[in-house]
Amino acid sequence: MKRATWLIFFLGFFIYVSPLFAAEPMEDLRGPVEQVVQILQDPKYKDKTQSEVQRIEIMAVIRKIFDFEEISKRTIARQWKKFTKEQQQEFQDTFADFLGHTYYQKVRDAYQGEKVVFLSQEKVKNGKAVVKTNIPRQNDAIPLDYKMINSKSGWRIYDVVIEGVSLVNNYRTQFSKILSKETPEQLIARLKKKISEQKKQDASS
Amino acid sequence: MIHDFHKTGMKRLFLFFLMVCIWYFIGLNTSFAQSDSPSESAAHPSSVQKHSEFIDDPVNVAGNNENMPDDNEAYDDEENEDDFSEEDETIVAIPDPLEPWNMLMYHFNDRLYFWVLKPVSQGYGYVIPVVIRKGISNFFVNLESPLQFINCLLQGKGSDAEATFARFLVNTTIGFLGFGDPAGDFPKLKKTDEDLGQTFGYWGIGTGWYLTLPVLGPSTIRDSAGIAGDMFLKPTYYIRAIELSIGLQTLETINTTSFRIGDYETIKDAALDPYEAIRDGYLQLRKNKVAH
Repeated sequence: MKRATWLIFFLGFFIYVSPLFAAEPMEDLRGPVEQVVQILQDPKYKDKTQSEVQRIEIMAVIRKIFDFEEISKRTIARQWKKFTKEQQQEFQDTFADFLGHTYYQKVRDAYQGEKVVFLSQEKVKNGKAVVKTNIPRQNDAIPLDYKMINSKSGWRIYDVVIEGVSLVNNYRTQFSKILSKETPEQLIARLKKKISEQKKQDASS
Repeated sequence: MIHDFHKTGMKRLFLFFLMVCIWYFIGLNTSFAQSDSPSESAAHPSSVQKHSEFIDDPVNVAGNNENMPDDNEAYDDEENEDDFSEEDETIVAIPDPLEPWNMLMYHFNDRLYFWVLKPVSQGYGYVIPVVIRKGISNFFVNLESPLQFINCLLQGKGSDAEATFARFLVNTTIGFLGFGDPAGDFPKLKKTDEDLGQTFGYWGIGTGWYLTLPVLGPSTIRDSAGIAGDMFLKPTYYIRAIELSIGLQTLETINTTSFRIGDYETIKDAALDPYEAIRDGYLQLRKNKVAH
């Protein structure tokens, strides 16, 4: 009896403590990354007709770990306040969809069983962290850093830095140029157009 | 006669090999000893110093992305959640007065890639096995050692210069003229990635205008000057036969591209404004390289 109570106490303690262990940015990232890799390798999606199912499956994981609200705010930057609430929401969804489509197609076509190497994590101020990873390729390796922010639902990504190039910064430059001449609606329309182009291109290839 | 010659030849070869071994170990030891503390502490103050210099210098701040305190770790983390003013500056601050020319060259390079470079490199990649292409890639990387070495020195990166030197010796000898990369097994002999453009940046020279070069692609005024200077540090420049020199450089380009097919397409497809995406990507990349 005594042993059993100890065991329960012990288990209880670990269940209690485990979220504290899980609250490490690298650990929060590792799970979803491995999930995506697993979905990519799953033979049931090998047939191209299953692509859409696979993409939706991956997007579900991506939406959990990427903070698209934060990403959208940062890419639009100062102009964000000029967007209405509806436009903000629509932009956020469309941009997420756009990123999902683009990178899904690229990764699906190029993925050859590469393993993501987790190098280090570095916590910085204001509940932010950088997790450094590496993707080995045939003749080189691509350094991929995830900038993460701590939220109620754990650590979430707000920027991806490839070889020192921040994607948020890169899109911000593009969007600000477009928004200097066009309205938020037109920007959203451009994103939607690009998504449909990509779909068409993917279907014909 | 022949016999004697053979003997002295062997003797010389042995002596040479011995020297290489000694150099190699000296290089290895010094890079071991130095890379632990002084190099890192040496790298940090200078970059910090540089940063403050740039902020103080209004001309630089106005003119160059390189010097913009936009999204550096330190900056980014101090910023207010709802205030994007710092980040916004990047966009305002980089002028592109050469845009008409750059746009023209961008389209030219784009066609060049899709019509010539990509099909040729793809065909080359199908015919030549990966092992040989890797060897060729190693060979060209090894040829860049003098360039790396001198730029490391010009930036005061002593331990990196030593590592480059040791790397060159190991790969040229044991690695059979650089086709192999035995030095790659030693983390201390890691490949550096310096050039004169970065050296200029390290000295505090601003990027100047963005400039797209025909064939060579995105650059800036500063980096173009760097490319011109670096040319003299490449052994291929000193090959007398111009056909051979051009041939080697073409081979290098095709070989490198054969490993990177799809990268350019990804950048282009992921962009709403590919020209702007490449321009910003290049400037960010260079800024990051100068900082390291």
